[in-house]
Amino acid sequence: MDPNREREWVTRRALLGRGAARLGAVALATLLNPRLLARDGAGDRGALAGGGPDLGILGGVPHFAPRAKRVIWLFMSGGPSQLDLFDWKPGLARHYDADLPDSVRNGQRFTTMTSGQARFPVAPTIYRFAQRGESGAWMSDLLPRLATVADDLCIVRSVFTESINHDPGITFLHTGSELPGRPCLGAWLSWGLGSPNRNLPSFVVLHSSWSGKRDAQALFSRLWGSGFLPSRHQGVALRAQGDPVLYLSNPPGIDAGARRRMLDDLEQLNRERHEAVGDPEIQTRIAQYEMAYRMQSSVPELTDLSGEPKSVLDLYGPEATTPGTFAANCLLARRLAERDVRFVEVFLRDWDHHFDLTRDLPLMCRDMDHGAAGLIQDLKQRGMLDDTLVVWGGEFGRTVYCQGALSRENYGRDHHPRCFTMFLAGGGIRPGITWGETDDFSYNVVRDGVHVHDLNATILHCLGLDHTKLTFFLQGRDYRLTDVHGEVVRGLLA
Amino acid sequence: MGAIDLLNVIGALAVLAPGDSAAGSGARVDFGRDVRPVLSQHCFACHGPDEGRRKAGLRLDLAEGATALLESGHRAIVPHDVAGSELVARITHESVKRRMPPRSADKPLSPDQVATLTRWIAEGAEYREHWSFLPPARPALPPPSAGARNEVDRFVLARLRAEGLEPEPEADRETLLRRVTLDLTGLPPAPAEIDAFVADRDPDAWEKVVRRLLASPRYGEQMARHWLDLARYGDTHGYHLDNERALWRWREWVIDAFNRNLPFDRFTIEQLAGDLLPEPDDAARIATGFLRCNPTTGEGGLIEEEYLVKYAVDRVNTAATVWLGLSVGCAQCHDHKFDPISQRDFYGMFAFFHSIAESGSDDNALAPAPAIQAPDPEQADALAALRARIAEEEARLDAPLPSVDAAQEEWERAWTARLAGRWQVLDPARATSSGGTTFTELEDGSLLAGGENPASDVDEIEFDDAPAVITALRLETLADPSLPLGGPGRYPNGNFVLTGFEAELAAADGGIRPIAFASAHEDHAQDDFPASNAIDGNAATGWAILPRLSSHQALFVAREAIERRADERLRVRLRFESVFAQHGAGRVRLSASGDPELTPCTLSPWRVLGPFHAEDGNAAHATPFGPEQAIAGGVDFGASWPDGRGGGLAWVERPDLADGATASFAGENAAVYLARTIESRGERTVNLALGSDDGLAVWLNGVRLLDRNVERSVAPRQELLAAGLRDGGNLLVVKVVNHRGAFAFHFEKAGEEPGGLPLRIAALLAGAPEAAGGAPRGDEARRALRDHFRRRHAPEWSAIQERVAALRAEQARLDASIPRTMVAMELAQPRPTRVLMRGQYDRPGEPVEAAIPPALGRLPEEAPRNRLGFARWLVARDQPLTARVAVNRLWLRLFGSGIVGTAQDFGAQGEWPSHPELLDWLAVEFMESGWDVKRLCELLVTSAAYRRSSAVTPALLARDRENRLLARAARFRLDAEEIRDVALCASGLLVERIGGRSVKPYQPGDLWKVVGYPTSSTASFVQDHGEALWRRSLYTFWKRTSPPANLTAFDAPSRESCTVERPRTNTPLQALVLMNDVQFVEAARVLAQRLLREAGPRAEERVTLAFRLLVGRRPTARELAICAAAAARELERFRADAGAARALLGQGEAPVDAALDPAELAAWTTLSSTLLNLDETISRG
Repeated sequence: MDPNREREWVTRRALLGRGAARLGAVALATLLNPRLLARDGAGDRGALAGGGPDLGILGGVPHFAPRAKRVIWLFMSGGPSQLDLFDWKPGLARHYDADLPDSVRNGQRFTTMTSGQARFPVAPTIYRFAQRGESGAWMSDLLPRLATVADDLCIVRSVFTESINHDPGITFLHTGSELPGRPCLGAWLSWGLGSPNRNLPSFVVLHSSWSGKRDAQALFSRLWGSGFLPSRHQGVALRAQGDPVLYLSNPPGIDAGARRRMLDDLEQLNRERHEAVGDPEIQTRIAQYEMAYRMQSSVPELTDLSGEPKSVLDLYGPEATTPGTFAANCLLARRLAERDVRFVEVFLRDWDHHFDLTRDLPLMCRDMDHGAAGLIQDLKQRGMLDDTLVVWGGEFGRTVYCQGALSRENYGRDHHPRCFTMFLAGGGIRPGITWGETDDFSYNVVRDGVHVHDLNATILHCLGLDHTKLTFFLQGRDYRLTDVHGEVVRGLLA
Repeated sequence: MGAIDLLNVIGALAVLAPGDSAAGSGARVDFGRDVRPVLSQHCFACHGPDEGRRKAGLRLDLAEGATALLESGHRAIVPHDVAGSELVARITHESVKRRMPPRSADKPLSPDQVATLTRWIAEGAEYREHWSFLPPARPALPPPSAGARNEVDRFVLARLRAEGLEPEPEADRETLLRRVTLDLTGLPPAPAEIDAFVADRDPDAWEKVVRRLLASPRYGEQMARHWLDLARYGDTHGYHLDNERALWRWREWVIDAFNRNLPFDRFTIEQLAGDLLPEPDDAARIATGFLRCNPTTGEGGLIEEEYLVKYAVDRVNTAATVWLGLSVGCAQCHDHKFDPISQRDFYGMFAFFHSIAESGSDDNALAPAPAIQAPDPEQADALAALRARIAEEEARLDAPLPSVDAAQEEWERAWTARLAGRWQVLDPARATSSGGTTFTELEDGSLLAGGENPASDVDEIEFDDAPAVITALRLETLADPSLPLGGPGRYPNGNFVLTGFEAELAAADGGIRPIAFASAHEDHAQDDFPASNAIDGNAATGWAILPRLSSHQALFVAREAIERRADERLRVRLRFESVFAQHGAGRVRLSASGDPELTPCTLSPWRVLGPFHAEDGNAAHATPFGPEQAIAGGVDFGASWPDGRGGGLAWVERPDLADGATASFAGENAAVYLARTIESRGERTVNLALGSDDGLAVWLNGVRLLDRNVERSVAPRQELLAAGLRDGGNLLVVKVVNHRGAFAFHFEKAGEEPGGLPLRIAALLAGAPEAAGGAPRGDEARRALRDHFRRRHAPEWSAIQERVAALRAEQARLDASIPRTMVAMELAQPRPTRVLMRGQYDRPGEPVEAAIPPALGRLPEEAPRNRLGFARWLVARDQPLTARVAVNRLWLRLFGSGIVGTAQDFGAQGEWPSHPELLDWLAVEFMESGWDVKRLCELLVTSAAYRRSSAVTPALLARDRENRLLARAARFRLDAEEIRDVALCASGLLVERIGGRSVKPYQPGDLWKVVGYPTSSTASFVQDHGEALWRRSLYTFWKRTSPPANLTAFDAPSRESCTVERPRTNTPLQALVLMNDVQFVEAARVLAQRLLREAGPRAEERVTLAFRLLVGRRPTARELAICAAAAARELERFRADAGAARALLGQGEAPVDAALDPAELAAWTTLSSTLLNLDETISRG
C-alpha cells in the first residue's frame, strides 16, 4: 500500500470506525504510537497498487520547492588525487622530496600502509594546470573535456570525511555511517520522493569497466542498499551484459505473447483468491506483475541506443556505444534521467593510486573525462541540467607526500580524508565557482570546509528536502542520512 | 492554546487509541502507555537522562527531577495541581517563544498530548518505571471464556470482548495444516499429510500434527534460519575483500540446538560464553561462533585498535538487540536520550566483549583466529575409528614376541661387545673454556663442568692418546647428580644446546689439520634439535635433549679416515653459543674410533651414455641397449654403441651432475645410462633415493634392483632402494627413459649402515645393555632398537607396521579435510576498557569495569565479571527483558506482528504491548518451563487464536487493519527462503540433507565480479552442480557484499548487521524472479514432470495435484477451468512449435524425463510456472 495512502487510511479508519468526533484521538494515537510512523516504512508494500505514480513517503510534496528533480552521481571509487586534478599548489615544486612539515601534519593519523615509512617526502604534481573557462577554474591537463564545461561546474576543493580506509569511507559517503545497515542517499530519495516513472525503478546503479591496473577496490551492495528502509528502495543495477535488469528476460520458449497469456491466467487465479480471502495485498501483487511486464519492454527500449544521433554520441566520445564503459553509462544515465528515474549512480573503480600514479591516473582520466563532460553538455543542450543535479567525486583524496619511491617522473599517494575535491553541476547549484580552500600542501582545509554530512544535506536541499526532517523511526530513534550532523552549504546554491 | 482551553482538552482525552488501549471514557491515564511516550518523544532530548544536553536543570524522566525546585523557583510538576505546575504553563503558553517544546526542536505537542499531560498531573502525576524494566510477574488468568483452547486465548478473548469484537471462526483443516507446517518447518505439507489430518477425527489430531512437526529435523532448520538473521551470519567477512569465512559449523550447531530443544537459557549461555564454561566441549566452543559473526576487515592500512573497537561495539549492539530488545548504540557516543543507559553503561557492557583473542585484521583468512577444528559427527566417528584401529595395531606392535625378543637380546649383546671394541675412551690432557667454566676430570675419563655458568661458552679439549687412524668421534653427555635435575646439561632445566662440534689435529710445529665430518647420529634428540645441527656450521642451530635428562651420546663420522701422525694431538671444540643462554653440557666424555667400516662409502662422479632412441618410450624402456646387453659382466667404459639413428655413442664423464639436484637430458622416446662406482670399507647397506622422468632401471654390480616403466614428472625420492654393498668397489648403473616432454633424473644417498647397522642404532647399542648393568634406556631408545630388530627379523611385525603407517596417512588426510570454525576465546590478559569520547577509538576517557547497566539490575556478587557472568545474567529469572523479548519474537513469527509491535525495541521509545498481561504470562511460563522452546511453540500454535481464519472483511480491515486484537489469523507473504524452498519441495527437487558447507545454486550474470576485489576468494561466482542446486535456502552461500539475488528480491537481508524483522515488500522484481529465474523455471518443469507421472491423464487430476502440492488444498471448479484451459492452449502452442518446447525444457540441470511428450511437458511446465507465481503459493494463509 502506498505509505501516503496508509496515512489516509488512518484517517479513514477513524472516520468509518469510530466516527468523526474522534478524529483528534486518532491523531493522538498516531503520535502516541511511534510505530505507526515507522510502519509508514516497514509496512510499505510497493506503492503501485493503483497504477499511479509512486509519490513516496512525503506524498509527492517535498519540504519546500525543489531545484533538482533527480540526481546523477558519478562515483569515482578509490579516491582520485585532488593534487593532480583540481587542487593546484604551484608552491609545491619548491618542496620536491622535502619532508612534509610536522606543522602541517599536526599529529594526524596515517594509514598503516604509510605509517611505517621513515620519511614523508612531498610529491608535487607533474601535470600542467591551467585556468579554464570564464570562471578561471584550475584544472590539470588530465581533464581536457571537463575543462570545456568548467563554467557549468561548481568545484568544491574543501570536502572532508571521517574515514581513512576504503570500506568505511565509501560506506560513509553513501550512507552517512561507516558501518553497514543504513540506507544510502538513493534509497532515501526513492523512499521520500518516490518516482514518477511507473515502468522503471526509481534508483538505478551502473557499473563501469576501466582500463587501468586490474585490482580495483571492491564495491558492496550496501552502497546502493536500502538499509532499514523497504528493500524496494534499493538501487537496481542495470547490467551491461545479459539481462539489463536481473531476471528480466523470459526463459527460452516463452515469448511476450505467451507471457501475456500466462499473466492473464495468473491474474484470474489471483482474483479468485482475493475474492475468497479479501486480502488487499493480492491486488497489489497483481499490479506488480503488470509493472514487471511493462519493465520487460521499457528496459530494453531504455538500453537501445539506435535512436541516438551521431552528434549526441560524439559528445560522449568513441566509447559511448561500447556497453559497460563509463562513457556508455553516462549516456544511459541521461536516458534514465529523461525517463525521470530519481537517482542514477555511475560507479567507476580504480582510482586508488598508491603507486605508479603517473601510469594509472591518466588511464582513469581518459576513461572518465569524455563521458562526464559529454553528460553535462548533453543535459544542458536538452535543458535538463536545470533540474538534474550531477555530482562527481570519490570517498576521499590523496596525500601530498609520496607513498613508495619518489622520482621526478613517478610517485604514489596514500589515502587522505582531510581534504579532497568534488564537483557538482546543475540542479540548483551555482555554476562556475570554486568553493573552499586548502593549505599549501592540500593537507588541511583552511576555508569553507564541506563535511560529507554537509554535502548530503546540500544535495537533499536541492531536491526540496530538509535533511533533518527526512527521518525513519527505528529502535527508539529517528534515523536520517546525515545522522545528527550536517549543515546545508548555502554558498553552493544558485 | 491558552490555559482557558484546558477543560476542552481534558474532555477530548476521553478517547484513547483504538488497538492500543482498552481505556474508555473515564479510565485513568496510564503513565507508561500514555504519558511516557509523549515525554520521551518531545521532552527527553533536553530534559532526559543525557546529562550533557540537559536544559534548565530539569529532568523529566524521574519523579524527583520533575517535582524538584528549579533554578527559576518553579516546580515543573506539582502532583494534583495543574495550576501550580510550571510544565502545564509552559506547554500551553500563549507566547510562541515561551512555549515548550521550543520551536527549534520542531516537535510541537498536539492538543491531545497537552491534554494527556495535564490530566495525568491532575490525577497525581504518578511515575512508574518503564514496564519492560520491571521483572515480569505471572498475572492472574482472565476467567475462562467460550472459545478458549488454552491460557493464551483467555487473554486474547478478554481483550477482544472488551473491544466488542468476536473472533473469526477456525480456519479449515487444509489451511491450518499448511499454515502450521510452513511456520514450524518452512515447507508445505505433503498431500498424504493433508489427507491424514483431514481424516483424523481424534480430538487430539491437531496436537499430534504439532508434535510431529516439532520432532521433524526441518523444524530446527526453520528456527535456525530466523536466528541467522539475528546473528548476522554470513559466509564472507563482509568488509573490503569480503573473502570466504568458515562459520557454517556454527550454523549446524544452531540447527541441532533447536532440534534437540536445547533450553533457551543454555542456548544463550553457550553462544555468548561457551568457551568460559567449566570444561567446555567442542559443541560449546562451536556455539561461540555467534560472537564471531560480525563483519571483519583485512584491509591494508587498517588501524588495529579502531577495528577491535568496532567489533566489540557490534557485539554489544547485537547482544542488546537480540536479548534485551534495546538499541544501545547511541550510548556509544553519549548518554542515551530516552533509555536509562549512560555512555558509561555502554562501555561497561563493551568490556565484556572487548577481550576476545582476535586481531583487528582478519588477514582475509578462511578461519581467522581464534578458530578450532570442528569435525562433523561423521568425521568425528571416522577419526575415532581410525584412532582406535591405530591404537589396536600399535598395541600389537608393542606386544611381546617371545622368540623374536629372545633373539633380539642375543643380538644386542653381540653388537654391544663388538661396538665396545670400536671405541677408545680419550683421556683429556687439557681443557679450557672461553666463558670461564672450570673442569674436573673424573675417573671414567669424563670432564665435570663447574664454576660460573656462562651465557655462552666454547670448550676446547686436547687429547694425547687418540688412535693412529680416526674415522669417527663420539661425544657422551653424561647425567650427573651434581647437575640441575640430575641431567647432563647445566641449564636449570637440565638441558644443553651444542651448537658446534669441531675437531682438528694439531702438530707440534703449529700446523692444524681439521677433521671434516660427514654425518652425526645421536641416541636421542629434542624435536628440531638433532645432533647434525652441531656440524652444520650454523650457530643458530644445535643438539639438545629435552625432555629426557639421562645420559646421551652422539657419533660424528669423519668424511674420510684420517691418519694421525705421532706429533699431532687431537683437539675438540664444543660450542655452546645458542640464543638459549647458559645451555652448556655439564659432564662430557669423548671417544674415538678407527674402525674403517665407519667411514662412509665414496661415490665417483657419474658417467653418462646416450640417448639411445627407439620407436616409443615403451620400446626405449624394454630395449637392452649396448651396455645393458652384458651388464652382469660389468661395463666397458671405453666401448661405443650405435644410437639407433645412425650415430655413435660413447661414455662421457659428467662431474657436473650433482647429487641432490635434478639432471636433465635431451630426446624423446629415448634412454640414457648413468654409471658410477661406489667404494665401501667393508660390507654395508646404503640407501639410495631416486627420481625420474619417466622410466627407471637400476643395477648394482650387474644385478637389477629396480625396473619401473612409468610416465611421470621428476621429484626427489620417488624410489627408495636399499643397496647391499660389498667390500671395495661396486658398480651402480642407472637407465633413465623418456617418453615425451621433459627428460630428467634425481639422485641422493639417503644414509648408510656400516656392517648392516644404522649408525643411530649403533649409537644406542654403544653403551652396555641394561641387562648387563648399563644405564637404563628410555622407552624411545628401547622402541627404536626393538623396531629395528623386528623390522629385519619378524616379517609379520613389519606388515603391521606398514598398516599403521597407512592408517596414519589416512588419519592425516582426514585431519586435513576437517573444517575449522571461528570461535570466541578470551585473552589471558583482558584488554583494558575506557569510555571512548564520542565513541572514537583514539579518544579514551575514564577506565570502566565490565558491568551491566544499573537500570537493568546488577551482576550477583559471586558471578564472574566476564561474558559468562553476562550471559547468565541475561537468562536470570529476575532479568526483565530476555524472556519477554524472546517470546515476543516467536509471537511475531507465528502471528504476523509482535505483542510489542517494535520487536527490536522494548525501550521507552518502543511500542506499548497490545496484550501486556499475556506477554508477561508467556514470559513467566517460558522461564518456568525451563526455557523450553518447543513447548512455547506448541503453546502458541495450539491456541484458538492461531487457528482462526485469516480471511478479512472490509469491516474487520477497517476496524483493526494490523490485526493487533487477533480477531483473525494473519495472512502474509512467505520469507525469501521459504518461497524458494516451497518451489523445490513441491517439485520434489528438494534435497533434505542437514548441514554442511554453504552451496552456490543458480545465480545470473557476474554479480560478484562487478563489485568484487579481483584477488578476493569470492571475486567471481562459480556455480555448484548436482544436489547443491536443490538444498534448502538456508544453506545458500551468503556473500555479504552481494547476497543471493533471488533471495534479496524478497527482502532477505545482507546479514551485515542484526535483523529482527524483515520488511515484507511486494515489487515487480519479485515477479521477475518467480517468472524467469532458472531456479523457478526448473522447479516448474520438474513439478510438471511430477504431475504427468503421478497424476492421472486428465487435466483436472493434474491441476488438483499441483494445487495440493503448492497451496495445500484442492482447486475450485473455476480455478480448475482456468488452469485446464491454459494447459490446453499451451499444449496447442508447443505442438505447433517444437523448438520452443525444447528450449523451455532445456532450463536447469535437473534431468528431463525423456519418456514424456516434450510438448505436453512444456505446456504443463508453463502452467506449473503460473501456479508457482500465485500469490497464495508464496503466502501463508
